[in-house]
Amino acid sequence: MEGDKALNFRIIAKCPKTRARSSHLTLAATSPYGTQTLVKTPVFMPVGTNGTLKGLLPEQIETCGCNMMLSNTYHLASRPGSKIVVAAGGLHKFMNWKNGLLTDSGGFQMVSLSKLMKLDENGVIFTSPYDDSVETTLTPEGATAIQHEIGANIIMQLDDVISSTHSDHDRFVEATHRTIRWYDRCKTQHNGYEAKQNLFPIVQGGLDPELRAFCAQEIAARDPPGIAIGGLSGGECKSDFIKMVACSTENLPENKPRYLMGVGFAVDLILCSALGVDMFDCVYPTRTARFGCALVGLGIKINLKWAVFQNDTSVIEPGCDCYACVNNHKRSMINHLLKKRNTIACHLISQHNVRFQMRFMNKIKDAIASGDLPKLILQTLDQHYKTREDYPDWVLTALEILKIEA
Amino acid sequence: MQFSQMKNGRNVRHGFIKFPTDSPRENLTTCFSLPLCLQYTKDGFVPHLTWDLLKHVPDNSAPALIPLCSMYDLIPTLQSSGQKLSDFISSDFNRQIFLTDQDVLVKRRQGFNSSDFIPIWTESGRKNIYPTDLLNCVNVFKPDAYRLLADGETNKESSNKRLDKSVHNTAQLTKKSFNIEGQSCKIKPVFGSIVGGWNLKQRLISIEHLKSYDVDGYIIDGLLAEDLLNESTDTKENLNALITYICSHLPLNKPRALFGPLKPERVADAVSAGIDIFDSSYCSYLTSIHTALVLQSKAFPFEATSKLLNLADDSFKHDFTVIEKDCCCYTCFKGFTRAYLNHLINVKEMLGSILINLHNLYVYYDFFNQISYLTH
Ligand SMILES: [Zn+2]
Ligand SMILES: [Zn+2]
Repeated sequence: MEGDKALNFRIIAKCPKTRARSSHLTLAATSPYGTQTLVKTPVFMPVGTNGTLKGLLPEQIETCGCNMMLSNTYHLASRPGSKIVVAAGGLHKFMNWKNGLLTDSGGFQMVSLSKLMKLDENGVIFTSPYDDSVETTLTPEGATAIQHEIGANIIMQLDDVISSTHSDHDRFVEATHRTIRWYDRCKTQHNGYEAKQNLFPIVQGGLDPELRAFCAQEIAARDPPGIAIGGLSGGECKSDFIKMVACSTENLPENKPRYLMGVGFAVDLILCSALGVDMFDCVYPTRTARFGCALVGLGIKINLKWAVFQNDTSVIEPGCDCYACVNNHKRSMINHLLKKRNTIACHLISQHNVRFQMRFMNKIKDAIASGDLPKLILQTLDQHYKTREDYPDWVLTALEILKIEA
Repeated sequence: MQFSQMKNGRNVRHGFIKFPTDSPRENLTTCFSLPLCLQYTKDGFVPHLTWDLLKHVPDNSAPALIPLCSMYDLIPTLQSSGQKLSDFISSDFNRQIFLTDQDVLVKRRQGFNSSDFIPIWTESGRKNIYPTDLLNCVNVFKPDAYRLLADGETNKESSNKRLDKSVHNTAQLTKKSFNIEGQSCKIKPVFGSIVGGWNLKQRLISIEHLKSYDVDGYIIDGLLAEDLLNESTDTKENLNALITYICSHLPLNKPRALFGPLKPERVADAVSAGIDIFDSSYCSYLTSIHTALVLQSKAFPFEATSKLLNLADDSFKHDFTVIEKDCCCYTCFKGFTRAYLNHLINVKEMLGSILINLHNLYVYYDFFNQISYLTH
C-alpha cells in the first residue's frame, strides 16, 4: 500500500473496443484481524446480509474464489446492533472473515421501508421492522459512525434515495444536491479514518443525464477513493438504466473504481463492465439458490426442483470447479434434497452459484485483456435470447452505446 | 462381517468390527474399534453438513446410519443410474452404510404396525414395507449392513397388550425376512431387533425368538427418543437395568447396537452394560434446539458429566468467548464466539446450525475416542 491510503487502484488492462478495464484494487486491513486484500476487477461481491453468506463457512467462500463481500449496515445495526459488532472487534473478527468487506449506508432500506419514514435535511427517521415503537434517526454522520464501528474496508455515504420512477423532477434535483451535501457531512465525520476505511460517495441524478453528469463531476472534484453509481435498479425501465450507467461512467474519473449497486445478472454484469463499471453486488446468486435455481453456461438459470432433473446424474454444471460439482453432487441428488426441504441443497447450489459468478467475472477479465469482450458479449446474449431479433431494447441501446454490431 | 471382543480389567467390552466391502475405493475405512458411533444422517447427509466438513470431526470415517424413510423416494433414480447409494451421494462421501428403516429422531404415528409390514413415511405419504420390499431396497442401495424389519414403536406408557403385539409382530417379520422365496436376506450382514419396551419378560421372549435366526448382530429397539432423552433418575436407572439385563442374555460373540439420542453419561453406562454400537443423533438433536454440548472431566470418560449451553439465550449476546475454551473443534478453534452464534440463531441464518453441529459432533466423537482409548 502506498502512503496513508486505504485503497490502491491500478488499471492493468483496458479493452481496446469498449470502456471496460480490469484492475488490481488493493484494500488495507481495517483491524488486526483483517488482512490486506487484492481484489481483481471487474468484481462481483456476494451479499452476506447478516454477517454471514447463506450457510457458507468463510473458508468455503474463499474456496469459491471470492475475497470481497457485502454486508448490510441496516440489518447489522438492528441485529445484533453495531455496539455488539464493535465489542466483538469489528465485523471481520465477528464473522471470521479476513478479506474485503463493504457495507452500504442503510439508505437503500429507506426506499423499501419508505412508508415508515420521514426525511429532511437532517437525515432519515426509521421505525424498526422488528419493533414499531423504536424510532431511529439516521443522519449522514450517524450512518458513517455506524460503519466505522462495523469496520468494513469500503463504506458508503448516506444518500437521499428516491425511486427512479418518481415523477417529480424537482424532487430529483433536491435529492441529487442533498446527496452531495450529505457526502460532505459524511466526509467530515470520516476525518481520521482515511488510512483504514474508504468512504465512497454515490452518484445520483435520477434519469436526467445532465443532473447525473453534474453530480458525477461534483463528487469527483472532492477526490474520493472510489465512487458508487446509485439511484438505479429501483424499477426504472432497463433502457433508462443502461443509459444512466453509461452517462455516469462517462463523467467519472478514469483512475478511481466505480461501483454499481445491486446488479448481478450475467447480461447486466457484462454490459455494465463494458461501460466501465468495476464493482457489482447482488443477492441474486445466493437468493436464487434458496429456491433451487443454479446458474450455468453464461448465466442461464436452471431450477433443480424441476422433474426433468429427477434422474439426471450429471453435476450442476459439467466442467465447473466448485466444491459441489468437483465432488460429483448430482442434479438428481440435489433434486431429492430440495424435495425434502433439506438445507444441504441450498449450501451446494450457493457454493456453485458464487463460484459461477466468479468464473463469469474471470471470463470478462480475460476478454478485456485479450480484446475479445465484444465477442463474449455476443456469446452471452446468444445464450439468453433465441435470435438477435429477440434482444430487448435496452440491450440494443447498450450495444449502440458500445458500438458493437449485433 | 468380523467381530472381535473381549472384556478388559474394567469388565468393559472392547474390540473391533469390520464390515465386508466390495467397493473398489482404496481409502475406504472398513474396520472400526468399539464402541463404534455411526454417523446419523437425514436424506444422505449429516444434518446441516456437506461431507467435506466431516474432515473436522474425529469420527474415523464411521459408517453412515441411513434411514430408509429419508431415501425411499430416491429408489427409481438409483435404479436408473445403476449406482449404489454410497457412490451416488457424492464422491467425498467415502463411507460404509448401515441401513435402517426408521429415523430415530422422527416421532412416528402409531397404530399402523402389523406382522406383515412396517409403515414408513416418505414425501409421497405412507409406504408399507414388507420384508421383500426391504430386500429389494437392500439390492438397490447396497448398504454394508442393515436392520431387519421390526415393530419397536413402544414407549414407557405402552400397555402389556401393545408390548405383546410388538414382540409378536417382530417375531413374524423376522421369520418372514428369513423365508423370502428364492432369496436370502443374508446378502449383507443383518441385525435383528430386540423389542418389548420396558418389560423384562417381553424382552426375554424377544431375545429367545431371535436366537433361532442367524443374525450378525442385535439392535436394542423399542426405546423411543423421548424416553432416551428423559432426564429423570428413575428413567436413567431403569434404562441401565434394562440394557444390562438384555445384554446379559445375548451371545457374547455378536455386536449389540443401541440407536437414538443418548447423552454421553448414558453412552458410558450403556458401554459398561455391554453395548458396542451407537449413533450420533444426540448431536443433531441438540443442534436442532440451538444447544451446544460441553463435557466436564473429559479425561475420565466414564465419569464425564455433560453441560448444555442454549446459545439462543440472551445471556450470550455479549459473550465473546468461544463455546468451550480448550475445545479443538472447527468452531471453537477458529474463534467463532457465543455472541456470533447467538446472532446467527436470532437472524435464523443456516451457518449457526452448521457451526453448532460441528462443535457437538467433535465433542461427541472425541468422547467415543477416549472411551475406546481407555478400554483398549
Ligand atoms: Zn459447480
Ligand atoms: Zn468446540
